[in-house]
Amino acid sequence: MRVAEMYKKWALPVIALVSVLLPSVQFAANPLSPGAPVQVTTSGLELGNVVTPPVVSGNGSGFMTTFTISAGAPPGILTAFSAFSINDGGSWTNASINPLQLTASPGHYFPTWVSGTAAGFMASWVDLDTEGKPPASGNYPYTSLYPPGGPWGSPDEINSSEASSLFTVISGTSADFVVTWLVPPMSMIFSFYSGISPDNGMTWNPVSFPEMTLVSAPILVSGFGPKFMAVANVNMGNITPFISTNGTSWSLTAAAPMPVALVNSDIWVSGTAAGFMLTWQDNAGNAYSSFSADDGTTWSTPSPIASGLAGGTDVVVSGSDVGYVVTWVDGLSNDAYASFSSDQGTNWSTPVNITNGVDSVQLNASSNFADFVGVSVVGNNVMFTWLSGSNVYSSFSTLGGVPSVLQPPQNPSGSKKKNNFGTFIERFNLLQWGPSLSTGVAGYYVYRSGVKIATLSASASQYEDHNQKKGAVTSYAITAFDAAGNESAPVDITIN
Amino acid sequence: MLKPLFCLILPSVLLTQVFCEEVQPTLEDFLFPDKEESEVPDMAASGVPDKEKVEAQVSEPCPTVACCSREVMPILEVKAGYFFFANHTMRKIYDDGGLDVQLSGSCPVLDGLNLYGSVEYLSKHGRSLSGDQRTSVWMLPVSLGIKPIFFISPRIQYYFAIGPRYFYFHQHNHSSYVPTNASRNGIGGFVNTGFNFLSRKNLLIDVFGEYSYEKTHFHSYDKTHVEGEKVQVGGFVFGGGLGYAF
Repeated sequence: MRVAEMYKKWALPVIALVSVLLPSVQFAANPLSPGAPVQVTTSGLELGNVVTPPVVSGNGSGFMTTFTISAGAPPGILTAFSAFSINDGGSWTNASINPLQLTASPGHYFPTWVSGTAAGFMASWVDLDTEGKPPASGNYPYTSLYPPGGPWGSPDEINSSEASSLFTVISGTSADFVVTWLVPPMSMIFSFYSGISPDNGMTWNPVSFPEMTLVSAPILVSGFGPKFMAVANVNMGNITPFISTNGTSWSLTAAAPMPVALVNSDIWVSGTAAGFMLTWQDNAGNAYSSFSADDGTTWSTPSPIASGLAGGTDVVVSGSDVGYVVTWVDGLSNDAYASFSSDQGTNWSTPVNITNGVDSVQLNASSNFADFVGVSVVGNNVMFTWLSGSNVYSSFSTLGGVPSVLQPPQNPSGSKKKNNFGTFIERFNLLQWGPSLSTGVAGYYVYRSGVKIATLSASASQYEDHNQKKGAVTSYAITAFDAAGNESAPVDITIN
Repeated sequence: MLKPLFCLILPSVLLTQVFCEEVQPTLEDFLFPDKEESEVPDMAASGVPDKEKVEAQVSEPCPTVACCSREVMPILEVKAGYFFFANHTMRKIYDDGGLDVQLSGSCPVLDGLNLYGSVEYLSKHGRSLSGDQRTSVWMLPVSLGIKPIFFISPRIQYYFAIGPRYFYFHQHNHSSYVPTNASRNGIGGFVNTGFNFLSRKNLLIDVFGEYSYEKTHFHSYDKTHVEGEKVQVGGFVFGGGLGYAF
């Protein structure tokens, strides 16, 4: 009876209090099953020590992780470094991106960023200028391209007119690469710039952001299709997204999501065919997401992902057609956790521990950048990377049981052509299309009247169907497929 | 179209000026620069009076039989030129190559009229329209006709020739969509015209232009929906030759 009385007395108030204090996390079934951590780097004489969190990106050919290492007494000789894996993290091949000395003063360790597309992997980092001036005289964002098969190309300085650049972040699409960076503030005015390269880093065209005050750097950026979204933490905790439809100008989105509490981290963004997802940690240690399907015109109500995060660490998000995966660092164990959502963040799966108490995340790796756990989703494949001690570790997972939703090719068109040899005329139908917006596309199938007639590579953008009868009406369908055998919905072309 | 004609006319005019102007250097001076003045017939030794000697020197500047007698001689020539199709589509497809070589000869049958014959070979290559596939052709025309010759000066002849010709046409296509090899032969016609510039050693230089009409029909292939075309495979040749007047 006493217990029953206590229950009657306290149950409702306790439930009410808990419901107010704790975010209403709804967990869905979890398709993530991270494998055992793999050590990516070897500290010591060979590489020096890794001093920044590793960024990871996949493009269907493999996963690339990039980081900054320091050799010698602090701040040491800093080098932009990478590790590439073609076997889902089974083994990694380390390579130096830039043998020059990066920005080298104690506490000025900036991550080396990377983004992968069909053109390869593009890395960006902050470096001393080529004249070897001290950091105070000018640090510049540099990039280098790792084309399919590698190796890294010569470093390319993006912007020689804006001195003392910091915090570079890069994102690539099938059309362009965009880099963002900060020019240290004059008084309270922060000047952010971006550079867009339509030719895989051969040339960069700087574009300035609108001036902002009280901004927490960096500005994270993510692109999909022709669009890029960048997002800043402004006025000590407010989310400020910018949209660019072609990379040549930035405009504030019409409405930003209202955080439950002020933001206490960098704000990460990931673009997919469905839209853009933002993730952050608030100043109560909770992880949230918000999604926009209309380029930031409207945002969903922030969805809780997890609580009890290590203070100030980032909530990293990466998405594909399958869904979104987020990572964070637990504040008690320093373990890395991940969660998955297939419904644009409305529901997040039960968190899974990636590190399992072994090789937990090294915090306070860089005083300039928040600590984070890298994640990259390509189709159904997920790669995690993190810094533990002074080495990079990785873990791989598939999204088991989650159907792939490959995007079909874009803008299909067809036309009749005459292959004219003067003496003979042979008629053919020319089919053309733009690339699928999905990452991890392995190729395209072409169907004529429901019968598969061609299997083409991912780089194909046209097909000629020869020896056609004059005046015939022919129906075609084109689909994209990935390495796992998934196939997109067809796009139809009828040639009269 | 005008450029090849211009190329034919300009050298002809220049050569005409050179060969007709006696006080100017002649082609012979270029061909035989070491020739001594003593090779000119010694009029005194032949007993011709001084007055006649002077007249002979004025009226007979070119004393060889071939060019001074105004008598038409049998001629054998090797000619080379640039060929292009008359048909616009064929011209667009076959825009590379075009070397045409000929072996021709003429023999007088009547006063000023010759019987003309030639064997010719030419080839061109290019890419199919829209399909951009490699293709090449070669032809072997054999011509027979009449060739009137007119003297402009003792050293310069104008001629034209006209007649029927047999032709063999072969096409090779680097394509799996149309026949790889296709050959046709037929009867067409030709007309050519030009100038012969004669030297003292019975050599002649020929500048010529030629047009041929050679229409042929390629069969269609129903199974592969390949449509054969009726096409004029003749065209124009402009070039020069080196010959010998017997």
